Amino acid sequence: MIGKKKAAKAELNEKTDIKTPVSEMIRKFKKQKNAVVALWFIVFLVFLAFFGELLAPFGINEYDYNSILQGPSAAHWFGTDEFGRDLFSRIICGTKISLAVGLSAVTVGAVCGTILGLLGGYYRGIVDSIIMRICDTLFAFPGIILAIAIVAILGSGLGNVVIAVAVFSTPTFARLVRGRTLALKNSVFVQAAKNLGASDSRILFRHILPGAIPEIIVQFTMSVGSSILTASSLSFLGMGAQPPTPEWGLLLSNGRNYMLTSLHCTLFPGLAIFLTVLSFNILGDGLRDALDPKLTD
Amino acid sequence: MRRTGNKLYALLLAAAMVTLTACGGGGSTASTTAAAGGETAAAGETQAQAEIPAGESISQESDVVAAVTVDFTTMDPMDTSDTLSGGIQRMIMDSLFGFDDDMTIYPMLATGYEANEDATEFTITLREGISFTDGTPWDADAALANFAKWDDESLGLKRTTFLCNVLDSFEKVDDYTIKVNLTEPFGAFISNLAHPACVIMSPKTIEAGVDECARNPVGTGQYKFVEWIEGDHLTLELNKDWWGYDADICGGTALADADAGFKTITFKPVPESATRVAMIQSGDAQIMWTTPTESVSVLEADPNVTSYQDEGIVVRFLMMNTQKAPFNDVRVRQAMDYALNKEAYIQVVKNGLATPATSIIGPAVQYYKGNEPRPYDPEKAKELLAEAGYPDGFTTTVMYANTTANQKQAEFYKQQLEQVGINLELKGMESAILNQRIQDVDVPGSEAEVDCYIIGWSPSTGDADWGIRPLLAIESEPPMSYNICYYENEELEGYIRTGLESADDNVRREAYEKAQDLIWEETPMVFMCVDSNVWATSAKVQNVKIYPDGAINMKNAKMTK
Repeated sequence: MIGKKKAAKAELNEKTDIKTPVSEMIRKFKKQKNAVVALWFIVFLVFLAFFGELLAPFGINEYDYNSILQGPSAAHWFGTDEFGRDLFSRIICGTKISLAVGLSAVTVGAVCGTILGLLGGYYRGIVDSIIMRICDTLFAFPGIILAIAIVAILGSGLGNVVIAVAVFSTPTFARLVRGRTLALKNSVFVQAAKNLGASDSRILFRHILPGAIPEIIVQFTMSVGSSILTASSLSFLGMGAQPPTPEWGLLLSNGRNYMLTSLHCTLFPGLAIFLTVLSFNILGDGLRDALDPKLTD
Repeated sequence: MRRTGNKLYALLLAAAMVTLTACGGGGSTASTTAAAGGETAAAGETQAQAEIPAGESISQESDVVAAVTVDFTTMDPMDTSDTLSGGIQRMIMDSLFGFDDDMTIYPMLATGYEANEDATEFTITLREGISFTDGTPWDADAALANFAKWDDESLGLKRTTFLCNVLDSFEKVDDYTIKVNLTEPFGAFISNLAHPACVIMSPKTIEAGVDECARNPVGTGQYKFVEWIEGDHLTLELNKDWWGYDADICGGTALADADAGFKTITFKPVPESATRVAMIQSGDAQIMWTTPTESVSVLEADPNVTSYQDEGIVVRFLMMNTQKAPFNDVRVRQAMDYALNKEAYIQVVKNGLATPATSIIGPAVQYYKGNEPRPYDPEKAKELLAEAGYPDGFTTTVMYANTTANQKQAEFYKQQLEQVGINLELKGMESAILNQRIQDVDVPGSEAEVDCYIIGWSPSTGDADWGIRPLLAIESEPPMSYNICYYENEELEGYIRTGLESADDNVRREAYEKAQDLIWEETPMVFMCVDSNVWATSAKVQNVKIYPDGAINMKNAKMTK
């Protein structure tokens, strides 16, 4: 009796479990325990970004000159900084800033890069040459140097950091999407659409772009990690967020002066940056494996 | 359980390391250098042991390493604007009049002076029996060669304006007497001769041109210049024949003991403060100037290092633009003073290494007169603000060069002023840009961009004139000098003139005391603190001091085994 039920259920599952690309991806993704943990950590970070200020036990600018640079304790889980502010609250509230900077910069970079890549790969010729030579030039600079140069021109501040990071992540997306476009342009379904009289924009955005989406997603996830790191580095160098903003890089930079006496001032902001960047990278790796049709189980 | 703990700890450490390495070189440089420093020190010890012949003191030949904050700019005293280079020059070259450890003036290459009543004519007698380290004798001709250089505007040196406007003529009276005529009365003339810019160079060096002066200085000093490799090190050698060791020339007692216990001093510029701390702890350096205040407790706990602190003359201010609302009202300025807690400032910003300011100049400066600091009283501040028409406070800005120390001050001001309803917006910027926006502007104060400004000031002449005139005289408003308060007060101008134009000690004292009382009442800036000088030496090295203005004083330095 029971065996029969099981068999029926299995049959039912097989029927409803149609292998769509998405379900296939989720199945492959779930197999990678690291990536799943990373995903949950990122979900947790996003939660903190939205509700951090409600959860923080102290205000971010709530100073107490009587408890300066105290180590971790029950009252102050991560200790206090040079003004006696609660480091735990500041790190929690800083999540929003780091995530917002990372995500918005990469989103801008991804959109610009994707459009440039599609145009270059599809139309070739002079347009392609110009776009790709500019990208090559930008590639020639190490990312952080380019970001520093841009911020030096625009002036310090988080808004300009977003612009700087967006500029240096654009060429990666442009090159990636261009390669994909070149490959897809000659595929049968694109040729068919063309022969049926579809407009260029329809071909680009309805037929070619979806083919490039998996690569873009993977690149996007990886880039978020490195952008958060770059943004933090810029703040660390005094070119990004300005005090008293609780940006992680800035917290690290402030704490550096007290490294010999109060390690917690650098340890905890450093850990926050480290874990976040690591999670995004592991998630990106997981997504790549899950999205790559050539990889089988 | 214990195992898990260890693993977790290792993971945390690894995480911290990876992050730090990724996020900028600062942290990692410190640790690498520390390790390297340890090795060098160890190697040095073995070598020393191998070389000692029996019965001979090892210390006579040894080298002292001093880790300092920045590289030197030049060795030409008239072209120097930083205290550090000035301090080295004072070791190589003596001046006519010098400062002792407390910044009191005493005759060095001169034995005395006479001035006429208007302070326009000075007759200076020179000390006999001294020669420069290149063999040239020190006499009236050598002195006049130096005056001629100070008066030569065509050389284009940074400090030329320091004296050339007041020098009229100078002549030789006899071999050891000169007479100097000034264009206008200048009471602080002798103090200015004691300024590090006016140390005496060998006439041969002066003749060889400004490049030689900048690279290869020769003087009569306690130390001889050996070499300067820019960015790496500068070496001095003890001058065994220094006249200061000779009691006869000094007129009774020698200035120092010739047995210093070392032969050379090597100054190394080490900008990264954590690296300096590591160097002194590892024995790679024997002198560190300055100690980052946050590391003082670490060094005090180290038995191999002695940490020192002494009163300096750098006064920290929060300047307010007195020609712009709301700071054109003295009640608002006083309210700012009541609203800022100086004790907390010293604890939080200065790690306790400062004393509350009691005047615009520090206690070690000549003609200092202290006033009772206004207590920290936010209620009183609010009352004054309400009286002045700002019951709900106001929003203003503060500009500053974005160094770590300034940043911390600015944040502190913001936190404190918030308590009385003043919203302070922080505008930290790179110092070149800041200079453009604050210093290089030629507009009246009411149109200037600056509201508040963070500054510290130390008068290296040790005289009240240089502590007041550049900061508050009308002639000193930007772009000329540092009157960023745009403060204009005829009464104060009068006191400044009187002090400047008289050579009579009592007249000058009275003028400057009245000036200080007036400034205290008028509060064109909030006076925060007088910085302490903090430095450290290896326990083997004694008597290294820092002059109040921040120059290194190694006159009586000694090294023991």
